[in-house]
Amino acid sequence: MKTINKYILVLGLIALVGCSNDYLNTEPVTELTENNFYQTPEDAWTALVGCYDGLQVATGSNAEGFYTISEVMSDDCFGGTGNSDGFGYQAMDEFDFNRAPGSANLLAGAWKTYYAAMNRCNVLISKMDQINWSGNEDLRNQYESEVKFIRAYLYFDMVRIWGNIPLLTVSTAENLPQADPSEVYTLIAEDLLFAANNLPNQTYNSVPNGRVTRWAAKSLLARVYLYYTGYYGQSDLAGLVTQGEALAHLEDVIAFSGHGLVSNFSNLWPAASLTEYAGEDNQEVVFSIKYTHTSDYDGNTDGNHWMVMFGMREFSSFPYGNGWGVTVNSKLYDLYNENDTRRTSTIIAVEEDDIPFDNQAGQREYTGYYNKKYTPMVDEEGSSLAVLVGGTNFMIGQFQDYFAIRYSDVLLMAAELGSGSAQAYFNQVRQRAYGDNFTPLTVNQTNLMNERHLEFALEGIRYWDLLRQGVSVAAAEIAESTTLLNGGVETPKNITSGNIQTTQGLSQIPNTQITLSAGVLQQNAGWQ
Amino acid sequence: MTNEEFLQDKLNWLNYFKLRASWGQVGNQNAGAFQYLTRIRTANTNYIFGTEEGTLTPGAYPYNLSNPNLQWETAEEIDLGFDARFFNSKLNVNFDWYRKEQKDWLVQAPILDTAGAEAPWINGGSVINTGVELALSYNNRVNDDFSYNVSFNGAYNKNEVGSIPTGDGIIHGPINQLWDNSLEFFRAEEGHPLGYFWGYETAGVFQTQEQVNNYVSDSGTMIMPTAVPGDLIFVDRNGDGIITEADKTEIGDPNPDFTYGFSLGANYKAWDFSLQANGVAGNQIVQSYRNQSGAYQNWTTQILDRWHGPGSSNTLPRVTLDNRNYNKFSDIYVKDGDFLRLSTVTLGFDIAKASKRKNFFADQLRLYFSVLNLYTFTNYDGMDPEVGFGISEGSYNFSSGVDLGYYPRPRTYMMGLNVKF
Repeated sequence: MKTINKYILVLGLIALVGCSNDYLNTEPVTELTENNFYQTPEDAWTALVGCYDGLQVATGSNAEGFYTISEVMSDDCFGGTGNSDGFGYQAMDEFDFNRAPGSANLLAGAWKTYYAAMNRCNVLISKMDQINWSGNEDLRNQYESEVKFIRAYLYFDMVRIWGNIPLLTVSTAENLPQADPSEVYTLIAEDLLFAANNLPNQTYNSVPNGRVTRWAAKSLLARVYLYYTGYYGQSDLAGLVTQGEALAHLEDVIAFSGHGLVSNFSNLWPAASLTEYAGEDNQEVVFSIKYTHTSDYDGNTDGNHWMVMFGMREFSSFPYGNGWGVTVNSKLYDLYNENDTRRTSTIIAVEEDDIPFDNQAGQREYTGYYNKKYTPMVDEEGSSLAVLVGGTNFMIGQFQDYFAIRYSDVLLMAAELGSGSAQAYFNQVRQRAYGDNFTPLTVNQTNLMNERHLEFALEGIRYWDLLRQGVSVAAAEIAESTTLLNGGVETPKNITSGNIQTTQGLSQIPNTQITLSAGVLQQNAGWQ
Repeated sequence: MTNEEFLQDKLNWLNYFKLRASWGQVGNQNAGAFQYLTRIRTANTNYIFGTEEGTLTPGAYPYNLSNPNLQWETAEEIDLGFDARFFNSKLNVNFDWYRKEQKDWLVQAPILDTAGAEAPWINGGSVINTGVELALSYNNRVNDDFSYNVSFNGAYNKNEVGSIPTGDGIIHGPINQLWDNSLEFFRAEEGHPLGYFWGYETAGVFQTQEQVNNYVSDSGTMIMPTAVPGDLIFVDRNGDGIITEADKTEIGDPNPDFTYGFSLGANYKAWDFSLQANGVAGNQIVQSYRNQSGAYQNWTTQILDRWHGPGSSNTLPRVTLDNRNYNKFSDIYVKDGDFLRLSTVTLGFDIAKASKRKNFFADQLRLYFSVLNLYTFTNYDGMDPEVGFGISEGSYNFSSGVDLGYYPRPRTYMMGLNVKF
């Protein structure tokens, strides 16, 4: 036998016996996988940031997301938008699918990104035991609290928007039916209680702005309590939190968090205060979702993509930038007393502020009023501030944070829940608003709800404050029959209370998801 | 077989006959590496803490769902056929019967958004193509001056999807394809052709309010209570008295039943002529040229013949600002795609041959004129029935027959000169 043949034979034998199964089933060494990630506290931190990012994308990347629908469906805003646009915003505004029969997937982006964020949270929570925490048990409690807060925040948005949603606590591709809302609220309450009890008892500024604090968890818990007991007519929060307990959490926030009111209401809002702006980390911000200008079209989604919806329609006038023109109901402007500093901080008033707006032709449902709390801005030359700080453009580059919970909300919620200091808390909020023109008003439920409207208008809160007083109260407040200018032409505008009663104030579940579920998911009433 | 003893030189009209049979399997693993694992993604995953705009903290998240059972896709083919030549090899015949089965089809089928991650690659079932192919050609040299050839080939194909191992036995097509917010309009489902069109069946256009009022279910309720004259009549297929997604059905098949082609060629003295043509029959095309999400996009002139009063049109519904008749995918978008195209015609004249001079400076000096895409015989009213296009998203390669109004192929005239020394 030739030598070469012997070599071939030997090599062949090696080849036959040399490959074990382990060798063939390789795992990537350069790529992170579920198996080699989630090992150390550092991995847990990175995954937690991924959950914050998920929250940012879910709430920020969709023009039609939680904030937008909260305003468009409320009594404060009309659908507006461009006079040649589709009628999707009118369908939301009027609770009427027939208004835009093509809008079968109005909130598809929100549905997808909320569940995407949810999966990040569920996976991290399920990996908590797999991570080696030795010596860092405190860190585990903190991270687990933060991720549970984020999960609760996501579910609370979703269960308010859609009412009937599949409830997932672990990562799964299963085709799940919608859960009873009480089950969703049970999970929300459990997660928030965990966070409220396990996050460090330290002042809010001990951690960087944006991180979840004990005080954020306690405040959100009270908001959930008020919504669940109100909308569903229950006496407590899923058997887990009583009114007294919800109040006690708020009193803790008031006593120990270090939060306080910013002295001028207008300083909370960049467009209302300009150089006087109190900043995104001001003492009044109990929890905010943070956005920045680094969104691009290569996959980075860090910006506030809904704010452009609220700018004046394709018209800018320093300091107000152009946008797509969701309009504000003139009734909101008229609601404010002229001594109330919140009026000019909340609303851009074209006529009253002498703004030379001339794009009636492009604007649908023109009212003469726009949102000042969340509006794109321009400099004196008319250049977009978002672009000037480095944003891709004025649409995705908006970087203003969403103030989800302000300290004044903590005060008013505590007053509503029957605090012994209710009158003092109520006065504190009103004194800030009226300054030297303050005149006292007795705290009671009617005055409180009215004050909440004035204080939180255009902050994504009003609609839910209406619904938690009962669907019929909300329907009566939101129903509208008026005349608005569509492209400069007077056009009747009707929002019927019947549609709000039919839908119970809930939104359309994306029809594509219903198709994919083969009918396991059920569409909400009024949106078929 | 003509080499076998029992046939050799026995039949003077049969010059050659060969039987063929083959079976083969080919694998395909075009799914990317490590799809059986859940990968962690860090790219584009950031959050901003603190107040310094643009300062990002990196994060990570599980990107896809894993599928530990992922395996190769296999294409299996059985082929039976024969090749034969008749009449002094003037007539050539090739015939084949085949059955191709694509098994364990690799596809990234869409999953419910509640899963919260990218869909896993799955082995998505099977697709079966069965058919026959026939090719005939006839060459004849009449004399030194004149010869011609005629050939024809045709294939009959039947395409059917076998079992699909997803929850509902369907691989759903993507959304937002025909216009903004458009729903799924094609899918792969067991027992149906691959990528069949899925939508509402219509029964004309309501001409009068009376007709709307009389369009009632078995229990006497109006099926389309909000319709007005000029709106499409959607067929309530499941008879539940309302029009819902459950009434959608197969309204078209993008796969041709029959594809064919033929060519003619002739030489007479110094002249030469050739013609090639190809065509398909039995397929449907989805024609969608307009974004139906807004009111101001352009229509084609076809819309001038829409419904605009009783008796004006029973096929094209009225036009509204909200496009309510057009933004539901229905059979008004589906057209027959049969066509026959004269793809190439060439006429040539060889001056070298015509001159008959022995010492002509070139062996060939051929002047020719040819037309590509000369004419298309079709009833299709779009720009080009040979769309050859589908919605393709990498993992979605099973769609075809969608005409989104891309630029049609041009007709080309060519003149040329061949010189050979």
